[in-house]
Amino acid sequence: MMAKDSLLVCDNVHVAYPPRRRGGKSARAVDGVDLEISRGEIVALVGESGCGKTTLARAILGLQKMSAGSIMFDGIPFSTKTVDKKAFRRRAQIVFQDPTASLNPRQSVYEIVAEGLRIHGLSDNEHEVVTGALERCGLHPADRYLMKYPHELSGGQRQRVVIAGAMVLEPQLLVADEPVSSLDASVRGEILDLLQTLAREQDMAVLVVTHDLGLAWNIADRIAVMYLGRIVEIGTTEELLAQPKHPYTQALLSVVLEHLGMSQQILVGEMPDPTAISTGCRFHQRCPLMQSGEAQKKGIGSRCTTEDPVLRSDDNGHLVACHATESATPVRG
Amino acid sequence: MATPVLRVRDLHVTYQSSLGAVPAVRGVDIEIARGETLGLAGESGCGKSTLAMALLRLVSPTTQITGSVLLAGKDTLTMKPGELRAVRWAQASIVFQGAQHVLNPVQRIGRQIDEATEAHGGARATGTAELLELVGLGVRRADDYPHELSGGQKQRALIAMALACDPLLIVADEPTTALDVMIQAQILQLLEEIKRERGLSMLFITHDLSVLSHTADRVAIMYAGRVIEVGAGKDLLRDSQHPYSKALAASFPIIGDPSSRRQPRGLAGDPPNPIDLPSGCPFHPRCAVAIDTCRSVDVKLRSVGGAINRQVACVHFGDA
Repeated sequence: MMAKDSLLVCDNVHVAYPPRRRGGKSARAVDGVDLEISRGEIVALVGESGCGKTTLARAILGLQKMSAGSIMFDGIPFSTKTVDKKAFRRRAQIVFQDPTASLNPRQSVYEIVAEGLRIHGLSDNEHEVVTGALERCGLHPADRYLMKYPHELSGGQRQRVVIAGAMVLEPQLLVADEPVSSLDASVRGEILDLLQTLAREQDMAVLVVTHDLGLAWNIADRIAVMYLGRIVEIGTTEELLAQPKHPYTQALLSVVLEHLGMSQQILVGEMPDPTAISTGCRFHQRCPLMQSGEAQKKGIGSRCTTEDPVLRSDDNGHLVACHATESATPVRG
Repeated sequence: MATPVLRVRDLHVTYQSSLGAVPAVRGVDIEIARGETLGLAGESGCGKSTLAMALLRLVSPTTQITGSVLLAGKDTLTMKPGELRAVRWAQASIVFQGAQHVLNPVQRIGRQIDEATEAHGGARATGTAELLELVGLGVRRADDYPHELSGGQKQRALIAMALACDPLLIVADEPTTALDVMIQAQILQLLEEIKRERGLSMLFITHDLSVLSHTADRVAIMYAGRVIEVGAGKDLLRDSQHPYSKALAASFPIIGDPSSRRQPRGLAGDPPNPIDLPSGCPFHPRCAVAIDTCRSVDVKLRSVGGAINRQVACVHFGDA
């Protein structure tokens, strides 16, 4: 199952947050995730708030301790040694959602972008490297921006500075958590285009954490759909969006595609709390197949309520965790 | 034709700031018929929220408003304070932006709904319990505090509040913006049902053009304080005419459309500063098809010839 050029391999990753009060249940925010990302590949991790997508991203960056499972980066398992962690962080960088909040208002653009270099002791030709990173991120001539402060920049320019601050270390993996959701619509396209260009030119893998399927259509090579701590479907962007197989993905897509005349499948209720993941399929209580009686007709109704479906692959490597689609081979036994 | 529920003529709203006068809305004409939803789209700073607040004079006293706002035939801009108070909420109510921050954190939901109506004359068409049922929250939520509700539930509570005095018009300012797509769809469906049942009119303000394509009967797009294009909701996302509307529409990709695959599109440059607007058409510095005229002439909104019922404010369209 492991591709030759894979950069990141998550194997059965779990993150559980301890209970808030004594006797409570722990929150299984990430509950058994397998995910692989190749060099230069853009993967969109899609899901609603509370599905665990940000927690998974944090675990991938080593910012969140896993409760079980393992992550390999460039063939080497995650290490908890401080020295190794620091070396790893140079190779895996993050871009947060709100550039205004992630920039220090009292640092100039130059200081912001140079900070990573200084932390990692890479101070040779600092000026040149900083200018280069800014220009690659579309802020040219860089000299015009070096001495500016965040408040003097527009939202789009601020996000470019954040990205430049990550790119200056030439990472192999960039995790972008909702990189455009706080930006104006007209600016959005330019930032996405930048991420796409950087991925291609630097052979950098990008994991975009987002709730926006349109964004995924714009730039992602593959899409992973997450629901309540688990990836329920993963495939190439074209396949997954043209032929979604999981009922949850189908519902999500129907909602954003209504203007194409597709009938909407609005799910009832909200995603449950990760302290209360139901037995069987975690989606069964809201599943349209269960509610319409189709699952029962297919004779899988009882399995849906008792047996947790595993991700299974079809011939094209399109994976889905749903009993209703089971003719494919299981990925994990 | 019946009197429209809302008729706005030549509305100007100018804020006073330490840097000088800020013309946030610069001559807007809009009309909403009974039962109609008008979508108002644009990016931050284009004046759409200011316009909404100015309809009921919910702006600071130093802010200048000129023009006319006829709500069911009466001008809210010339009303006496008592009259205005009676009109607010009873004839036009607002679902404010950011449900997370609008509700009072230390007051129970039911009480907050009661309070809104008491403040506006106490005319109640529908009881609080019934309202909560109507918006899908259930009566038992009346005793909850806001922190006990999810984002979607808070938004439902705000909608219940807006309906309390049985208004003619609801102004919804980014009602679904902070919500997940599925919850957003639930709220839009709810608004649609309520609107149909009660024959309500709605002014739906958002930055998300894709939401409007299926909720609004007509859509008006604003840029730098002016409406620059008006047309039928379902057409505007696919077939916009004004170069700005086109660029805005293109930044909402249509999933499955090969032309947007791996080609995210946006618009270079930033929205203009309202204190220092470019001369002529305020869009000309970012416009790909600008000609010399655009630097000096700001074209008014005018009908485009042909089959489509569309008004555009651009030198390239609708030459008289």
